[in-house]
Amino acid sequence: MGAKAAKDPVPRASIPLNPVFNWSVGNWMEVFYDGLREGKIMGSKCPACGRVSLPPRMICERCFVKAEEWVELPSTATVQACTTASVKVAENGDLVDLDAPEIIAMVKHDGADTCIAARLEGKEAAVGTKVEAVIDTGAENVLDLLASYKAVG
Amino acid sequence: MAKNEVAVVGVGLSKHVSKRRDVNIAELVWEAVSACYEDAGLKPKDVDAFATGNMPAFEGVNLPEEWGAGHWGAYNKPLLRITTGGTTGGSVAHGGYYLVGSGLFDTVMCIAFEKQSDGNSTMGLNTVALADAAAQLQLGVDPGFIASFGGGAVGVAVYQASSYMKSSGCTTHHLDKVSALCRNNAALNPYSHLKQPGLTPEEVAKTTLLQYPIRFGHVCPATDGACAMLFTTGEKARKLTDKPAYVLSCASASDEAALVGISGSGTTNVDPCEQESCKIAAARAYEIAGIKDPRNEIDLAEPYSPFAHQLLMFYERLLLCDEGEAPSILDSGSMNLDGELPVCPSGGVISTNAIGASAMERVAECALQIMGKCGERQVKKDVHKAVAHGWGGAVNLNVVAVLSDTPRR
Repeated sequence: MGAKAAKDPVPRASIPLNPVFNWSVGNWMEVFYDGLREGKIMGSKCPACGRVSLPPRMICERCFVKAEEWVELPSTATVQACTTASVKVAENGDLVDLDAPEIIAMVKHDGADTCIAARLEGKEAAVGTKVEAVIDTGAENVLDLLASYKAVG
Repeated sequence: MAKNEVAVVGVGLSKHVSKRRDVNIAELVWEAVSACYEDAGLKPKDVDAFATGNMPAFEGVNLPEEWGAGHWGAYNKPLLRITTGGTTGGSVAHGGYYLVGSGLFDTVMCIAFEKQSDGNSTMGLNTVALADAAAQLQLGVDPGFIASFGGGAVGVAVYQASSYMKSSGCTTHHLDKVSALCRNNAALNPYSHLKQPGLTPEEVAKTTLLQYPIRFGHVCPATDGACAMLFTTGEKARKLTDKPAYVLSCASASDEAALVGISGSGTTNVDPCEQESCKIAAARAYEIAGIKDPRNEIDLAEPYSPFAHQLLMFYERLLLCDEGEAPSILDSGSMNLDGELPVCPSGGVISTNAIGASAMERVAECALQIMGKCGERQVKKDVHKAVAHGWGGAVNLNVVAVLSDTPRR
């Protein structure tokens, strides 16, 4: 690599950058994560149009009204769209091959009007498949609380 | 000149502090937007288009439109995003003026924000400098020299400050006085970040020296905050409120690369305090506004001044006095809240800097002062005409807006 770079007529400089972002999840997502810790799936409901957002959102996108009502949703959901992933992003940002393909999907919980992005257990899924949330209430990282979804039955 | 009269009928500001960990970016911006709707007595259905901007590198948020529909009331509405570095908010306000003034839209919501605590300001500045590397190579400058020439925004400011001090006779005591003036004004502003009531120039002079001549007390903070403004036609404005703030003109000018401190190139713009583009933009803005004698016709100024010397330097470059005269005008007390031409009654950028929002907050303060909505910091004199300024881009862009209590005859 070094010898090859030396012959390169274009001078190159690499500058190390290590950005750190600390995005706040906000009040509504905190309720969501606190709920998962207790094994509950909490969605927000618009008092004007009744739409239920999951994950919850502070403002109803259609009505510009604060969605201050909370509803506990069942853990069952339906796959709306899915695909199979064969690589994942490693901690250093590289793409690495997965040992086995994973199914990732948009799922809509019963009683919700929006989708949540999720990883599905198993080898097969299709649009319309009924699934159920697998919650790991003991997960260290809040982002791992909603671990995956598995087929119902 | 605009086809339609343009007026500000509402202003909304979020709380401005260094860390808003309780809300996410969308929720923070909503605070300003919902306050703006309330101030104007309008609802999303009354708004015809949206203009928005932030400085994406700072919190790593490039697509705020993703949540714009919900948190701005922009669902299915025309939307335009404008981002011009430090001038972003000013450019967004200009966008609102152009959208309404052109006759294409009647009522436009303008939104600008920054949530610096979610990101890393140094990283943000680095990406600006890196994006500039290609331009530097084309100008024959070694980008590797950046690091040694002076880091970050302070590095940009110190060369300008020392040059300005040499040409104007401004002393470090004047810098201390500017900080004291602004932070005391900020103490009266519920939406400012650094409130230091009773701060004296002597106390500022005791703060840490960062890079000569700039001390810690001469520099803006990094702020989380958002600003929203509703622009509409003169006709609609008069139906909505007894006292709209008319936007008489907006003008901008982009200079040659004035990158002393960022690229160290010096380039063709040899004097970082010259700011020729500010003078040109100001002259254009006054001409469009029908102002012949800005020194006597302008009642209030909000120059963009994240560093103390810039308040004085831009006061001059906004053609409000002769060059070199601003330090003595500061000494005279004319720039105070009860002075002849109050400057930065809001507390200025040196007290509050949510970067993307900052240049819009200059326009917002001019509008609020004209509308008489400033509470404790309302200036003593009647404000008929005010000038708002922004400085940024890659430190080459100046944007100027002139506001008034009456439309142009």
